[in-house]
Amino acid sequence: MFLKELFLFSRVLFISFLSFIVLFIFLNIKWGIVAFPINEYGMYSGKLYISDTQKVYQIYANDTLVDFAKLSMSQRDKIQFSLDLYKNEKINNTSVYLTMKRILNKLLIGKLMKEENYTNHTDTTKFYNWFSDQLGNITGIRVSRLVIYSCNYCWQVGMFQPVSEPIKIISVDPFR
Amino acid sequence: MILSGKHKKQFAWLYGVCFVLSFSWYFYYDLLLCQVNPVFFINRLDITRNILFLTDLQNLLIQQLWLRQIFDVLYFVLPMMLCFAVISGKKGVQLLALITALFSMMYGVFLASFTYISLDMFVAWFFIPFIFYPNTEKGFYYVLHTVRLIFIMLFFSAGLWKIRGGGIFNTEQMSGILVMQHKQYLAANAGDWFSRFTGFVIEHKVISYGIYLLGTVAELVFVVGFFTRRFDRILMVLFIMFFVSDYFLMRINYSSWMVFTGLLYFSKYKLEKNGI
Repeated sequence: MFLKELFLFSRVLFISFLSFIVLFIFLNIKWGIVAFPINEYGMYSGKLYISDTQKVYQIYANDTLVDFAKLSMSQRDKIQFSLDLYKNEKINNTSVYLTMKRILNKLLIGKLMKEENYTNHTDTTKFYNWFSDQLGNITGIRVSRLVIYSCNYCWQVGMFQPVSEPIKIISVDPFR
Repeated sequence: MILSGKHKKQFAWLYGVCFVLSFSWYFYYDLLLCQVNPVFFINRLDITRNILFLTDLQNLLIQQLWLRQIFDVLYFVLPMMLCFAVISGKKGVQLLALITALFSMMYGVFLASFTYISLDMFVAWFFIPFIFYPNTEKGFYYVLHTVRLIFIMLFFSAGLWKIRGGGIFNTEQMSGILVMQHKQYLAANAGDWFSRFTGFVIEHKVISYGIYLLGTVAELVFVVGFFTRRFDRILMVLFIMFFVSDYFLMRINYSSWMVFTGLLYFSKYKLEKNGI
């Protein structure tokens, strides 16, 4: 048996391996907190439906609509997730900080957690400056005016179509 | 077939090639730390990430370009040096393997905090360097098989999660995933072959669910890898097919995981004595 041979070969390797397995199973059963490289490798395991409403961004760079169809998946993700992540960063980071503080307290290192280290020191102007730079790199245009709308879409009668009026998220002009 | 030092060198080649391919992809899409030029970070319920955040490197990386440059250079150079040291039989492989594994993990944690990139993409760059740590063939053999079992567990657990999360019991699952995954693209109404193909799969739930089911079964059959190595070649083919399909249909690049195929390929070699 491999485990027996591993034990005879190296106690350190054997114990490290078993600890990893036990921790992996424990964290995966507990569901919620991970410890990389122990992750929950369950992408797209939660239920999703064809009729789920999806939030789609419409971005105008210098009054021209950015055509997402001409971009690669990676570029689309970069644009979309930057907006999504920034929108949630404050609530997310505060809530994660409070939860992780409790966990790290149990590991006796919680008092080392300073809230300012776990908080972003950026503001909306700085973010949209950065975002317009990123958008400029992707589209090849120097973005001096940016307008972003969010719109709900849904898959209906064989098509992906809007089900709400676009809501303006931001309109900034000029940036610099 | 007996395991020898030659196989360790071959694995180092595989590691090097896979790493360069993955790195090039990140470079091409401006996803290295210097190129991302981050202005904010995202925290997650991850103990490792939060321990690393104690150092406040996340804020320092946002502020300092030189630090991001050092991180990018080390992220590329360390695996290259490790490959070179293993292939040319240089000294210091053990230390280099440890540093490479730990640094790759750290790089992944920070990059995933600044971008949409999932930390899962970096798991191979953490585990694989450990294979080169031992300086004996026996050591190489045992670490290779230990990492092989860990990899099988990770992949198998992905299948179990689809049962636990309920995705496998939902006949609309894959259609729902495709709508969510390609929403910006679908909304742009490209009208090209890929949007027509995606639309076709979304609309035909039997086909889309069949794809999801096949993917889940491919993950679950990895359980045989815990008990025998006889089917490792088949598992390797399944694994490659899984990620090629994932790239084609979902446009998710899991190229970094391709280095794990080496674990399934080299598992057929036995030790000269006491082989199992």
